[in-house]
Amino acid sequence: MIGRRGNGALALLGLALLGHALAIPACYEGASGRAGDTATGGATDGMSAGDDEGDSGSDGGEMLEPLASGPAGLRLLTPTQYANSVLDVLGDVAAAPVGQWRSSIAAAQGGVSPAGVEDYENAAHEISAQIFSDPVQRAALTGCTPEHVQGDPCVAQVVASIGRRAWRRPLTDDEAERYTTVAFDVATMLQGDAWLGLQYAVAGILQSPSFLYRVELGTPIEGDPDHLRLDAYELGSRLSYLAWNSTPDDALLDAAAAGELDDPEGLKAQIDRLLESPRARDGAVQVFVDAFDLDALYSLQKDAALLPAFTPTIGPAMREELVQVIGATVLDERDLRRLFDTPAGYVDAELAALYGLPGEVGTEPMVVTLPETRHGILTRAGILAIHSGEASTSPTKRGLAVRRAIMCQQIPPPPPDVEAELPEPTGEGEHLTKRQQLEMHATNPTCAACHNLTDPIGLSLEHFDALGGWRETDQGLAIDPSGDLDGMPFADASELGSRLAEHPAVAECVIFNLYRYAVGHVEQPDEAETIEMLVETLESSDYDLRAAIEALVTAESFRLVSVGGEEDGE
Amino acid sequence: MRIRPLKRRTFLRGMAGGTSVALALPILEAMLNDHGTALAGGDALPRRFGVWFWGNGTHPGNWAPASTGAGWVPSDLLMGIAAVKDWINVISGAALPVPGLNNPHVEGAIGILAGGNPLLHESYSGQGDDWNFLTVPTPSVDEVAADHLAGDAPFRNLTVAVTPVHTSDAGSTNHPGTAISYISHPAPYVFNPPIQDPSELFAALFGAGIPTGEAPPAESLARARVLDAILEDASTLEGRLGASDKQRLDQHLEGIYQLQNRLTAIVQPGEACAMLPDPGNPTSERERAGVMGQLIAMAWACDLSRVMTLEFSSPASHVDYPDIGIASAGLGTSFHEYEHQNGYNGTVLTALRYFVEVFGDFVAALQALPEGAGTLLDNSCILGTSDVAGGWDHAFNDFPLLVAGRAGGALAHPGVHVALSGDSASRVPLTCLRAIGAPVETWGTDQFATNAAITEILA
Repeated sequence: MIGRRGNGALALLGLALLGHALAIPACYEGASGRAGDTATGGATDGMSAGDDEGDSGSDGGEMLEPLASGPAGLRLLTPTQYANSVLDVLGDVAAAPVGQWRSSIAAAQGGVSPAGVEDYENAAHEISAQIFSDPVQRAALTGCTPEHVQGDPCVAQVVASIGRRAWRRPLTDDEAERYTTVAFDVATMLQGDAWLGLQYAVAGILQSPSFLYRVELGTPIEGDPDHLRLDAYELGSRLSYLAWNSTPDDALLDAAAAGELDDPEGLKAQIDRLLESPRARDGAVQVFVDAFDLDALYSLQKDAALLPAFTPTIGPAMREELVQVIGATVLDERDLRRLFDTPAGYVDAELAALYGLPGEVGTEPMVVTLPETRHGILTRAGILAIHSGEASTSPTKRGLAVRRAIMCQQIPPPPPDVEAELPEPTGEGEHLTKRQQLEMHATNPTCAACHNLTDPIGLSLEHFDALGGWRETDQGLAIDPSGDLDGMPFADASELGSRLAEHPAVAECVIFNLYRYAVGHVEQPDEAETIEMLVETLESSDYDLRAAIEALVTAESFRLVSVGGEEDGE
Repeated sequence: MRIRPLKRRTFLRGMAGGTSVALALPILEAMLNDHGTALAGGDALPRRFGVWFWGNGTHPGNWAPASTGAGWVPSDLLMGIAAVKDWINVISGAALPVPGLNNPHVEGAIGILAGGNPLLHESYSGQGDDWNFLTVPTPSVDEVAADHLAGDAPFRNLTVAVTPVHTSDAGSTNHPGTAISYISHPAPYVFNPPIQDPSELFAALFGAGIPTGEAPPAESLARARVLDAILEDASTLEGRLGASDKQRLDQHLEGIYQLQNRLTAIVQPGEACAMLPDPGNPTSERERAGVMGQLIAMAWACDLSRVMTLEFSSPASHVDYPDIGIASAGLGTSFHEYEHQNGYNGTVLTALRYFVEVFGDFVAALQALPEGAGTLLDNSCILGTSDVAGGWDHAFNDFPLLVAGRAGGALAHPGVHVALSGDSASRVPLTCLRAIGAPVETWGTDQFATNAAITEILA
């Protein structure tokens, strides 16, 4: 899977496949001499040729049958999935997110370093000790009392039931014996009771690869050497992490055991059940948390001398606002377009102050209606702050974020010999607005090819400083927020939001992001049909993400993984 | 990939009639490894290896001493190591053969530390800012050294950072291409995250006191017992995996072996091993580097570890250096950007001198601890280097390469200046690996590959 730089040729695949996207070839011609650009160049051709083909669907005949949703393999739990899963396995415990790779794609490839192993080990012992050192909690969790350190049926029962929930499948006899033996050995070594032994056994279950990785290996299909079928438990896990971003509950495991996930009716019943639950918010919102990397807000850093509203707690508050607003528009209003014009905000006192809201907001965050300048998620502090410098805004970064995360377009990085940094403001010397500073981007043809795609978007957001606070002027100079999105002019950030809501690339991009989150990899050529089907579902459902999720999990390709992808000899 | 066979612990599974079987102490002893006995047995003192890294290089063409051979006189930029110059070899005139296709700082860091070209996972190909996603093709030199040296030391490779580690431009740390941020890599897309707080380093190393040669507490052995079960789980799973997932899982297991080692090790402390005070977290970065260096030196003296990686600043040096007045508030930008804008002016040269001074502090800390007939420095090889030769124009000729210590006598000619004429900088990591006794025939891949050590300094 790991190839030398430039060998991969799947960049821009989605755009090339669907043909809805705009042809922006000049950007790719402008950056020459870079190995990676062969891929983008090829895709550009695909895009310009794709306008007809994508709509007619005439290229479907060359697709492989049956379609798969990616290679078989191991997917590490993301930190959020880790914490969610621990809570679902053990109940009410304090479980911190553990892990290094935050997005679904990164977690499907990322490794565990020795330091990561230590983190998992420490967390497992802390979590297990919380439960098993507390007579009330352990009784509630286990429902039995072990009398003996050895051969006690309660120990075996607890290992089997916690093991099944943690590993998302029943333990084999060997596995069950392995952990009852751990319980016995440890109780003996530490001269403790059976509870102590169980505490260590459960700490082991929580460190096992069978817990830390979602195993999606599949089983052979007769007559089809290229694909594998996910077994009922693997499929149940896929459903559960997609819908809830967590481990399957007992009902889902029971359904898997009863063979109910093997037929479309049973599968539909389960996904409907999961999506009806309030916990579906965790899954749907995670699509956007992944795509926008909102977890970066947990560790937001700004120059507090220049941006006095910055505090270590304001980043998490910004993240929470976006999570709530995304959940409300996507799941309650069930219309993705509302992401770009929703007036709903969710603010605590700090964020309310940053937004300049009148009235009292306490420490508990609350839903508010924001002024028109803040409608849509683009003008929310979280999005604005992540894509800025520590002191100063970056129209290029903000524009790039919109192109990349909201429109799924790939803009190549600047040539290696270009310094991409603008100096941070010093308060001395000549004052220029960002639009003036970025003038070279628009006039130098080498820069303009790409920067004309990013900078006009970012410049429309210049009324918001590097923390996302409103400002009338930039260093005392007037701000011009007007611009142009692929030929559609807009007067300000609010109009930009309206343009985006109607832009075909945006709906497609949500599907790409949903798909990547669900299957943990960037879509491959043989997945184009599934993607196209999902985009059509989304459009015909008036942009209801839930309809797309249902269509995804009931697609045959969702149950298959492909053999191979192991050509790496590195 | 370093994969050891499963350690089958000698466990008594007493299942006699449902009654518990008391395990006596000898069983516990049977679980213990024999770390430390090498010293008791009168064998040679262990050698140690370290990488001391700073971002943005030096002033190529202007940093090397005027004369070659022994008795070199420090240039202005090397004044910071004047006090320990007789234990430092200066290798000037080497070139790093980077491909020149991507960000020079990433290419340089990967080139000098891992001896190869950047690797990019295909999922990230074509992403904007793809230099954020580049990783090493093979383990970095400190990890190769640790393969040979670490043995059963509880801390295989002490990895620390002093100034804030680089975070990606997109405001995201959610990328596995870590070579712009991290310098110690056991495998592609796997890195050793550095400890950045001296107090935390202290707690990890000496929180439970200095090693005594006693058996570890029973709780540690119980935790190690749990890890046995994890290893068994993994061996069942491994048979079903494809090549790349198998490699990922093997890397994961390597961490489990290391942790088991730490939990069960009996460490025989060296003669200079003594408790240090908790240093807190000094605001001065030179001071922070200093106390971290002292803690590492003491960990080496106590035989808690034999390898270290210190990242004074990340590749590109995208940070401030407030100790020497280089801070955004004054300059309006990071040191990286400042150097690009100003070239080698007085402020930049002050910083370049400062990097060498802080490196010198670490060398002195090793020299302060007696060991055998000499000091810890006599048994060490420390590679001091950077990501580029010069940060102003991303030069790769006249790459900064400092080799400190005598490596137990293998670096037989310390304190000389060797002037190369455009030879590959890869020769120096190779020399260090040979010096610590690693059986390395060739270091590096592709155009970085070399089998020619610097014979002028090697025994």
